[in-house]
Amino acid sequence: MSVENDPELEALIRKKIKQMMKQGKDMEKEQRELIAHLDSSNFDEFLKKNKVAVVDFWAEWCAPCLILAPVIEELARDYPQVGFGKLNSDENQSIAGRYGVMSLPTVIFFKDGEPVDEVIGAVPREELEIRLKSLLGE
Amino acid sequence: MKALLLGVDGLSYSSFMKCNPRFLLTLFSSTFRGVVVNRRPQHPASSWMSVLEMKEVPLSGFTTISVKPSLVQETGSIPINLPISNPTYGEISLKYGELTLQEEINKVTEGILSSLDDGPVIAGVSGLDVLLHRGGDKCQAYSAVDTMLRKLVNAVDEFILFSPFGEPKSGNEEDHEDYGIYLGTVQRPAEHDTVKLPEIGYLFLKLIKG
Repeated sequence: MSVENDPELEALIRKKIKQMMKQGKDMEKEQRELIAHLDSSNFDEFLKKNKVAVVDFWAEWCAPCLILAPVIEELARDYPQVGFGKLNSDENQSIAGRYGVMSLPTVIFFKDGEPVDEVIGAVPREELEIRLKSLLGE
Repeated sequence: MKALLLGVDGLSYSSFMKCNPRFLLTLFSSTFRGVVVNRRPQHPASSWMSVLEMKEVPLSGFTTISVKPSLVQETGSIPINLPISNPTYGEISLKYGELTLQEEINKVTEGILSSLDDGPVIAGVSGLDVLLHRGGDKCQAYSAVDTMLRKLVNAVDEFILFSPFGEPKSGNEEDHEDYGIYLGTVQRPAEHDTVKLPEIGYLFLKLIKG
């Protein structure tokens, strides 16, 4: 019997494909939820929900913002107890203005809804992590 | 004037911090820069044609090229390894995805360096994108691209380096990050705006024709 006509093998292949597709979807979901996409409709709620929060202010045209993005993702994975979010400054100018964001990228650290620290520019992970650890009392 | 328009498919700012490509980082801090926006799905052929025709070209795969692309025609440029057809289009024409990244880099570098005295050059490197789609070693690949760029940029007077889209997001060849890179000696009129693919072709045209 040829491989194409083997129903058992076909079923196995179908099952494997389903499994792989589910894994892919789960990974995508995890990625989506790792960092909250913030705007005026959910920003305040996000700060209320997270005792310690880190918000990355960015814009599409900002190349250093794209350099920094994977560093924020990495930290979000390693510090699940912290709320990580990103906010497009061009599309949410009133929120960026509220926190005096003048240059991009700017990362603001919040504790109990209040900004307590910030970092400007594409910096290495360590620079952000040292602030995060101090906020968490580590 | 020795001028080069070089596209490296899949090159992305998102790996600059991880892979630390020294020469690219030097360019990043010393040349004009921008973010190329090209939303998914993206195919190398239609993305490149948008640059070469200086207008948005709808998503399509590799085709047979019977007429010189507008930018090549209007600038009198020498095309090298452009991924608009398979095999690629130009003086150096390679079967897409067949060579290793290093083999492609060697051929393209040699081709560019030997053509620069004859006119402007428009060249492409696809191997990084192909390698990343297949799950190859990213930072090793960035290092190879970085070395190539050092050689090429030092050999020209003016250049535009771009990627028509970012890194692959999966094995699907039309699935990449929406953001590519733009680094070059050519200043863009609106720096606080994203770079569109046709704009890259237009900027090179302006560089050559004045």
